[in-house]
Amino acid sequence: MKKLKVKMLPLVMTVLSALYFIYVFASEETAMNADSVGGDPGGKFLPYVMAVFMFFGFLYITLKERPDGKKTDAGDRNLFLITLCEGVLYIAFSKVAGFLILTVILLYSLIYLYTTIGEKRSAKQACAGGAVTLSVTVAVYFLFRYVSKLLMRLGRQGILPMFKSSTAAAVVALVIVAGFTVLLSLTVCRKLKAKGFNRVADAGIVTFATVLFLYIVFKQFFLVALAPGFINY
Amino acid sequence: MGDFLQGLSMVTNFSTVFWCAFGSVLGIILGALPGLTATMGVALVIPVSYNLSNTATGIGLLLSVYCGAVCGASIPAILLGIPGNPNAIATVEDGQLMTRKGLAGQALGGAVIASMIGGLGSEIFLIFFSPLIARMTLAFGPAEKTTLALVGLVIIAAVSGKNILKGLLMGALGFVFAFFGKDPVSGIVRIPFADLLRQTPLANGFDMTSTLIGLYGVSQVFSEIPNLKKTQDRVVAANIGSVFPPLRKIGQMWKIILSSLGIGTLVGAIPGTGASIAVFMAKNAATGICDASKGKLEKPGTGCLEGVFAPEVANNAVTGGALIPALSLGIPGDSATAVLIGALMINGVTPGFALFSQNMPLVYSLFITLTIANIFMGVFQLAGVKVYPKVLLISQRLLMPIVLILSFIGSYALAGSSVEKGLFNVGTALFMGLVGYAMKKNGYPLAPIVLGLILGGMFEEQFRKAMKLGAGTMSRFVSSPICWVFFLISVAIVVSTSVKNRRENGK
Repeated sequence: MKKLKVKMLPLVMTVLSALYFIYVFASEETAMNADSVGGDPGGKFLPYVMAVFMFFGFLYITLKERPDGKKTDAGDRNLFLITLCEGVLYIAFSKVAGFLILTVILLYSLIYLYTTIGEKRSAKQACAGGAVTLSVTVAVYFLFRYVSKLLMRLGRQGILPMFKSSTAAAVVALVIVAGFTVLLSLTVCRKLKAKGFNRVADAGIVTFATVLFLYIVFKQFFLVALAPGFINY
Repeated sequence: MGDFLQGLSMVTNFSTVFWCAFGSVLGIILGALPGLTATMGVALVIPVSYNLSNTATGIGLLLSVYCGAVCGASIPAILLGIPGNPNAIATVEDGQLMTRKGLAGQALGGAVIASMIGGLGSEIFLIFFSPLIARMTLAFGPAEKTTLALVGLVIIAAVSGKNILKGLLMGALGFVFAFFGKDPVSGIVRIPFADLLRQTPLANGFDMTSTLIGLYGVSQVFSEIPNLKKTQDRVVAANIGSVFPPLRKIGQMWKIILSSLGIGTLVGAIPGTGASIAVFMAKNAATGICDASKGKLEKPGTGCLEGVFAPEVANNAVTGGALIPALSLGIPGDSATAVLIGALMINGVTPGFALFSQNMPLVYSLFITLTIANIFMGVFQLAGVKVYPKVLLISQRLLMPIVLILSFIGSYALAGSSVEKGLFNVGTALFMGLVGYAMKKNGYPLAPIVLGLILGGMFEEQFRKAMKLGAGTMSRFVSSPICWVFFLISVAIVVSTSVKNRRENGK
């Protein structure tokens, strides 16, 4: 018997549509008694319509379309899976490990992996670069947080009134991060590049600047409660 | 006049000017980078706009990114022959030829001036027509609003992909996403395993911003992975030369400018058509004008300013045109305006007559910020015309991880002080990113999902109201001539698109 070859996505969507229909059927009626007497079709009517339409629509496509036979490159598939797994782990461990540590790890590893496609990778080099990036980022974080808090305290005491608001202190933090980014790229990164560690240097400096910039914008300017994790200064 | 002054006061502050300037530069950079779209740019800045204290400032930021990205797409089109996004497809031919002739600066400068003319010109139409069209919606009851939503969905399904059935299925999927959460009439939670998940953020349904960010930001990262293997080194013309095209030459092109402005605005105002159609129509019209000029104007396609001006006026005229149905009816012109409508709603601006009748100062502030956005777009792109080409040297391999992290942090930030809700939003973005990636890879358009998600709640609420008014029958739909018009438009679109697709497939 010939093996039936069908496209996966429409097939999966057909099954999901059927499951959605069953879920709607099994769920409780949301229309109030008076409303249903008054003609309200209820909260299950449109979901039913959509489920039926999607089921037959995707079934039609499943039966009509055939796979193009193109295979996904193994390298691309691995990179896709790594990106996806890192995303899932980022969500799973964010609360425990916190924004700063996890974002550095995620960003550094992805930049390193993406920029070294088709090149020979060195796990030792990558890990060392990652550890240094994480340490420097955390150190500069402690520095600007200390400076921000100090300035705000001085602002509240009336010694430096312009720093009464957190925005002014955040601007100073931004200047500190920008200064360190320039300093690090002119010193450490330049030396690393001269020794042939281009990929590590690029991944490190981009990670450092991006993570701290995002932290200042969202945490200090917009007062978003980024997950603190281990580092809660 | 009082409303206008109130609107003016909402935007005449440092914060608005700063964020408009920031949005313009960001938009130009996003537009210039091949692979990053105006839609993605708007989706990524929604969290920032939402966190700004002034609604007008947030809207200014969104509009600046939108206008900037449309204009910025001309940079790679001219210098590399690769359009930053589909809006600049028609600019490639003449832009590249001008670059080869050593006139890259004039092409880039001309494109900016043309974009400014297009953007500002179309805004006049927007200011004039959107309140009039919004007033028409006064005649709309629940049945009319339901069928209007249906027309919007059918239009976007028809034009955003090669197969209308796939577009309609994506619209239905968007509706399904919108139905998760609370029943709009009774408030009862509608989610699978409701007893278990009632206390989780899913009880309120999918967060719209995280969904938008996932569909356009995260999915883009996944989609770009196969392209990362390709060489990332780009050679950009080093000699940009003089930036300003001769004023006399621009004056001679007045007919091209007016026709492109008209085409761009009109095409933009027809929901679902989009800039990629307008630019070719404008270039075609410009060719006719040049033929009739008896040698005064050069013919597009020969590496001349006329061939850059026509599409660039048209694509930015589309931005103003597309905002006419978007603001007055809540129907987007393309995927970027679909996201923009979602962003406006997140910022507390619901398109339609209520906006024009109850919040005119905000409408004026929107028009003013659009003007500022268009001016900044021109000023910043002209000022940085020799700097922006360097952006093209940034590798996608560096950009994509940053886009991913921006998507995560952006969706997280909307939760404010709740870490749990923030992480739920990130999960939503990742899930929607996977959905978007799978759909794009299989040729399913994403814009209908967005519109389904935006319109789903309203559609259900109005549909049920209409049914109740008709005592459980479809009488409200059957007795309304407006419903019939909308219904016939929907059928005509489905039939014509199906016939067109069949013909194209048969070729």
